Amino acid sequence: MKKVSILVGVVVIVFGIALAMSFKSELCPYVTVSYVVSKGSVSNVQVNGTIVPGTTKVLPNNTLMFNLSDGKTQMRVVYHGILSHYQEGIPAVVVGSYYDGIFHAKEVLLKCPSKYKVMEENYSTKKVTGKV
Amino acid sequence: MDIGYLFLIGSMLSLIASIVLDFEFVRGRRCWERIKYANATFFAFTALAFFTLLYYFLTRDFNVKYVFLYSDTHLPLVYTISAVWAGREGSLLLWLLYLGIFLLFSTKKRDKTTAVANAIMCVVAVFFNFLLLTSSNPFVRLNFNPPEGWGLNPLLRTPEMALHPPAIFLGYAGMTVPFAYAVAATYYEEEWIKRARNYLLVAWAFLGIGILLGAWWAYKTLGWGGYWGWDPVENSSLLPWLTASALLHGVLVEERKGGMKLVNYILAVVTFDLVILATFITRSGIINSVHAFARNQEAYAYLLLIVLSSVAAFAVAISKKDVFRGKSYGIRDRLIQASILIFSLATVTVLIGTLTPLLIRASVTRAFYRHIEIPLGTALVVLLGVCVLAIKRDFNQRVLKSLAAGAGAGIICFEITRLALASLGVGIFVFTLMGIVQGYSGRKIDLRRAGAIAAHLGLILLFIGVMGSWMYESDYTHVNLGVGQSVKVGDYILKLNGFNEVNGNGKFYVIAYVSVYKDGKLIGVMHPKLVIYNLMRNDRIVASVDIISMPLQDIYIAMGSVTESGIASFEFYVVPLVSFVWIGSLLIVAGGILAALPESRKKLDKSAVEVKGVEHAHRES
Repeated sequence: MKKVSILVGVVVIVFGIALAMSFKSELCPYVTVSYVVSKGSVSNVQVNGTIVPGTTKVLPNNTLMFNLSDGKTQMRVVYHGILSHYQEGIPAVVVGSYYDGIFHAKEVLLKCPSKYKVMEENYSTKKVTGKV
Repeated sequence: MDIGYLFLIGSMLSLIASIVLDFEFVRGRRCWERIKYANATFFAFTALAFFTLLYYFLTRDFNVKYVFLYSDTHLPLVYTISAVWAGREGSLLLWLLYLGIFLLFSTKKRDKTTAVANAIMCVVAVFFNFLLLTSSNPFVRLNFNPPEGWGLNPLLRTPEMALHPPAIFLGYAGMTVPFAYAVAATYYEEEWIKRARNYLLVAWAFLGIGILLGAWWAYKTLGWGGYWGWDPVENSSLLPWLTASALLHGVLVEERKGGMKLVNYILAVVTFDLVILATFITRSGIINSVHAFARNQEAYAYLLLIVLSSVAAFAVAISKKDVFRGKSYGIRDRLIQASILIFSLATVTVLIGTLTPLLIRASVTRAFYRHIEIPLGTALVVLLGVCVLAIKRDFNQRVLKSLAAGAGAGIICFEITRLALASLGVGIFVFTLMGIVQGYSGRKIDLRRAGAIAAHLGLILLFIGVMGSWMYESDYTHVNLGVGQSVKVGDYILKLNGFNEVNGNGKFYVIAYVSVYKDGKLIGVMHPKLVIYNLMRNDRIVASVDIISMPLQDIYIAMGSVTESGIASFEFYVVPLVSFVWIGSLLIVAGGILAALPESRKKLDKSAVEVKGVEHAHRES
């Protein structure tokens, strides 16, 4: 009985350490643009903001650059890939890391603009990340 | 006041009557028949409320806010019916209706334990009934008559999503029964497993069906090539399934040797708490919006129910400590305990990940779950391979045989594929498969054992399928093609032949025709679509995925968007072994249903008598 208890104890402790380590490395906090810029370098965060009109630059090789603002501060965001219904002036959440003065986004979630001008512009879909 | 609301008041009054009568019965009054009447009245009123809501949907009475929000005039009949449970209010009504059905069946045995269990279930029903009468009233009317409804979310217009909530909520409501019997029977120092086992199996199976439908829907609909995203809603339904799976194994030890009583009791209570948590998370959207907790008035009600049920169960356990005495012996019981430990650790992991956004301003990534759950799943499969051999003689020899087979398969796989982890996975798969074959060969197979075999085969297929699809999926998320262009992605060549536009009933399709070639041969023409619904909702455009399923891999394509100039962007995935995930999950569910079938119950009673007889004989000798 004693042996079993010790074994279970060891398993639980090892598991606890693994869990804590994985949790720490995979935690992705919600932060503001101002926080990111003032810190200068942060990794693995989610930043909420608005895409600043007139700042978008489309580079070859599907690379997109734009500024994200929280009303006080702006930061430059770079993203590799296509974003369906990308639009300036709409709210967005970017997930990734900030270094060398640029936010490198692994993921960009665009919030739907209130008026959907689908038929005039293009057919596009909303990327669904959660269920309804 | 709406007639549906009156029915809900009627069901509330019936519930209160039933609870009062339960206590009268416990005090010695002869009122059993009246308890049954009260339960039946409760069921009848709830069913009437449910059908009233359904009637409003069928007659498109958009003056009812809930009908306005979840349907429109173009909605086909089937999805008009399923729209009843598309939102929070209707789902809670379904929960209540299921409790009504369980209450009809659970009064078979006339004793105090049943009466108290009945009262506990009624209290849970009172909780949901109260929500339906206050903050989640489905019968609220608007002060004007909209000519058209807002419309059901287009993503929910699939057969899977029509059936997913009824299955999940049947599982949730069903878990109330083992909880109620565990507490009531412990209070009277009786055993509860036999009374609750079939409810547990049925609830577990339906929970499994619901989770599987959800995963299948996500795979076919969401267009990211995956079926399990570890999002809070998915996680919340997995949590009670994990603890219920643990409980099903704990029950084995308790039935045979009388051990693990406390663990089983705790698992029954925790499963119920997780079911309530899941209902709350699923139907409040709380995790997605960080600040919603303070504003969501129902949050505290759910929290209160979880705390109250836990405290009551704890109090009963403390006052009846002696009931939990019992021992478990032997290597097999130890191995089953180890499996329960693994299930519990998996539960803790998912729970921590799911609740993180509620507790701190952060969330965890998918990798968090994968880092922990993949090793745990692997350990579970290895453990299974050893555990099924533990009842047989020549234990060591048989384990060696399994090991040899596993090692052989792993080496062959490595020689062919040169993938180390995949080969390890195949080795473990064969090791456990050999264990199951050796462990069950030559033994009498009744329905219950057949259920166990099916579920365990399902588990190892699921293991190999998850491993293949998570670790070896190839994704090409930025494939841009104009008409007539082709591009090489991995081993495949994709060519966009053209588009077609089709007008359907209340919707409009843009269909792309993409030819897929491998080694110069045409594999098939895929038709990913964009469907634009004629709705006022923002989310009226959905992508429709096309999949070519082959035995060892799926080819999966989704269209992201089309520009005016005719350039379409696609996401293309090659998902290995995903069919194993579906077959494995189906087998697990089938196992639960097999084990709950009536014939196996009779056999069980008989074999229990035999075991007791054997034990008597042992003691006498």
